[in-house]
Amino acid sequence: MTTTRALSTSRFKLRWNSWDIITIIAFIFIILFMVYPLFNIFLNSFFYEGSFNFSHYKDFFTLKYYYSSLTNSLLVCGLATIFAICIGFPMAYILTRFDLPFKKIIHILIILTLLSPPFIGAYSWILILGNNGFLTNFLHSIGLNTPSIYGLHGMIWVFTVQFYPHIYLYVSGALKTMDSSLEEASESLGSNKLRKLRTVTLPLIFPTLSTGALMVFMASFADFGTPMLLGQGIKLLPILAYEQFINEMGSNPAMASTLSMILLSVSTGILFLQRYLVTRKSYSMSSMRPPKVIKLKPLQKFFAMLFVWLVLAVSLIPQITVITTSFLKTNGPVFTNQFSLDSYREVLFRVPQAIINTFSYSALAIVFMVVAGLLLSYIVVRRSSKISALLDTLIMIPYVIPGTVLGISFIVAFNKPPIEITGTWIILVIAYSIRKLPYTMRSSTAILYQIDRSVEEASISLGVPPMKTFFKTTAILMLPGVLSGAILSWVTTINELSSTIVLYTGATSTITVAIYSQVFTSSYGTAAALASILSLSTIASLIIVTIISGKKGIPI
Amino acid sequence: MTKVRIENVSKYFGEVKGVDNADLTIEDGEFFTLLGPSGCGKTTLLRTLAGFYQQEEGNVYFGDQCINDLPTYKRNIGMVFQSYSIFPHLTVFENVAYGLKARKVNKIQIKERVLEALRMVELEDYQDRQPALLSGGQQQRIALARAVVIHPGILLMDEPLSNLDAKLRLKMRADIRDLQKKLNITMIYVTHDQEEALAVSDRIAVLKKGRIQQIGKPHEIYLSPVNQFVANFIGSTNFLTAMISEDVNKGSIVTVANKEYPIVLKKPYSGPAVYSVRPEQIKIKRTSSDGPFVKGVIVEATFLGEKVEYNVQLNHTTEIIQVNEHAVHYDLLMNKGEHVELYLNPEEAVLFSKDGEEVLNIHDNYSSTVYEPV
Repeated sequence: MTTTRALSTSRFKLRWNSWDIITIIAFIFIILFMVYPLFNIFLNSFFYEGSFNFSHYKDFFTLKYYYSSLTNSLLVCGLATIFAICIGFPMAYILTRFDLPFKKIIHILIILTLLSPPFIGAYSWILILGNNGFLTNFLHSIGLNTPSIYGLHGMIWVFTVQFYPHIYLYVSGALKTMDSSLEEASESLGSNKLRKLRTVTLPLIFPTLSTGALMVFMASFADFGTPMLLGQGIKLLPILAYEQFINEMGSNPAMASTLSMILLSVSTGILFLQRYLVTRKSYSMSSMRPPKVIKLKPLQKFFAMLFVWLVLAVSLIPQITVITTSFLKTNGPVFTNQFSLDSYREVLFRVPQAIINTFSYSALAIVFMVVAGLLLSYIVVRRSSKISALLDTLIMIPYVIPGTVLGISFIVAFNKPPIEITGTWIILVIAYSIRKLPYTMRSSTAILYQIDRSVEEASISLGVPPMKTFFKTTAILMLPGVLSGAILSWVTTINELSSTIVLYTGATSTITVAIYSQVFTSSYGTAAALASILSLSTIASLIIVTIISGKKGIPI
Repeated sequence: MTKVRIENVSKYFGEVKGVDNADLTIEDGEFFTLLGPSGCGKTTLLRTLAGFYQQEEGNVYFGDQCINDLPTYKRNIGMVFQSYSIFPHLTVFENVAYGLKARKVNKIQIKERVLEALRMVELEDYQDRQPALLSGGQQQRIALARAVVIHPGILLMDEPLSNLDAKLRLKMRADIRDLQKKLNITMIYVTHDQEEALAVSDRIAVLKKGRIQQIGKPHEIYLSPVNQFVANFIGSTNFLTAMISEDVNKGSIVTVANKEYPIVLKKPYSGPAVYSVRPEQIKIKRTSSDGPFVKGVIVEATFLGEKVEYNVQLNHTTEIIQVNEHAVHYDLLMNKGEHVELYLNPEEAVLFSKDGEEVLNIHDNYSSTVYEPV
């Protein structure tokens, strides 16, 4: 009897070896490229002139130069979140509950807004409302003085316009799955429309609304490009961290580490705060009857349409501006009215490497993410254990790491042996992979839950070994889901600026970095051309993901 | 075509025994069913045979080969799952060819064998279809063809019919039975449906909480259950409280519903017992007379087509007895409220000890071998 037991345990190990090896490799990778760098800057933040103390933290909280960056960040992101709710919630309510034309197109256009990088938004708002902007000049000519887009209010504006789709997407998702009988019950108990909204609808969608709000806050809190372009002396936290790190007049990596730790603690803190608020308030709703779509009276319909199209127009203006101006002839920083492809010609001659870099690095990162997404989601879902749960948590951590922080931590960790990859393309590809893997993981696990486990068992019973079975059955069935997640990862990767700006060197510059430096040197034409290339790639990718997910019915 | 020997097999889930010391032999070409309520361990035992679970104790032999350490994909089994588990990305043909490709069978033979298998399940016209577009019944046929085409040593089926509708279930179970006999393949079949088990099996093992209660041919299990659980689980039956006493002159006597009947005991016993008699074993009539008859009133009469089901409230106890009668002449059937008398048929009734674990009497039904784990 004992021999049987011994034999069976040894066989058990042999049989699952390959998955165990993958798990181990995943852990090594995560520890090396995420835990170790973060731990490194954590230690670093306590070292001042070679000794261990809290002086950086003390400086941060006592010197206005430092702490004002935090208050600025909180102010900008807090207000942007509130305004995003004010726009996103009505948009979601109107588009899910009322009968309006072109809903599908509106929906796609809103997602498109979300996926284009915020700093391109910031840049095009400079073109419109900057010191020399179209609208500024126009209003000037008719004698109106507009406030400049530069400053905190400009950032709040850009973030609001850029990130309200998060609120829209989450809230409309929740509104669609809310059973109509709940609201009907409220009405039958004598509630009027407003009371119904306040006492039934709002509490029920609060958890999702707060998740959307969290996304807005996190995205704007971590954003680097917008505050950099619109700051003009007013600094947000990521900018300060970056400048402390890169400063030409003696950089201060330790202070940069301290600032990174504060960035990280705030975003983690906000995440936990949201989780805490939601835990006791989340309801599972199964929609037996989706809410009915209400027909509006003509006048009501007109105002609803007006609101929706106005918001949409404002959020699409940056894209349109960028694409239009990219075809204009420039005279220094000034656009003329003539059509020209000069900007594109210029781009192709001056920064071809950046274009090649963006697409090749992103492609490499995507290949990595697809493979990792397939294998790791399998480990998390199908071979669930305490270890795989830990793996899942670790993989999701990059959600709360601002790109600037990851960039700084990478340089601090990898600018010396044993791993010296600072300045190479490898460090960029790894940074992208770590940062964007959560998107691919989320869609991979979602689809894996829908695939019946016995499909694999059928294959094994027919004589195909487990690992080969995985690649012949489950992996193929997962592919659409993994790819739709990977395309989202791809879109955010080609638009990545905040960690690239820290990690790039001349030879490894990317499109986003090029746009950023073109805007800084006021070469608005080439910046527009580059931004258009990015925008069009984003649109194309979005179309592909819609086709893939539409075909297989995978929600993104 | 393989004999399967399961030798003292136990499978643990933590502290719980999923399968508790199963010991049995399944003959070559036998249709063997594992039957029991959910959580009884039938699927666990099947999956242990398939190799998806590894038993902690005991051995499994296919033929003369001990397969304890043989991974699933080398066991040469065919398996059919409750959820069909068709490969949705392959056509019907590719699904059936899947196992043959893994066995590196040449292309011409694959084509031949796949078409033959599809013909067997009457799906040869569907070979190029995408399986997602086919009905549940058709998908399960593909699964069946896919499992038998590889000429497996044994065929394992895990509740293959429970996702199908009632009518299709009847046809499919007959088809599966026919196919199994035609191919003369050793079949191990898991179901919770006792009627299905009775209909298709050569032999049945009834399980409860991981332990095999009884192994036998369908009629043995039905007519001669070894304990109250099996009697209750297979078919429907009436359990009446009874008392067994020894009488010096008459021998053993059972008192049930205020009547006394002589019985033959396997071994001396006296005290409370459970009297089990099936609805169709009871005789029912209108006329009243003295004798071994129990009196009562019909409280419910349900016409079910081929039979009528009466619920009879006995006069001297609170017990209600279910009685079935063939509905041959509708005019002769009785109605609710009528006074009747019943013959409780002590010759065919099975008497269990009070805890329900043991059969006390020798009855006229088939006597079956009591399952005793070694």
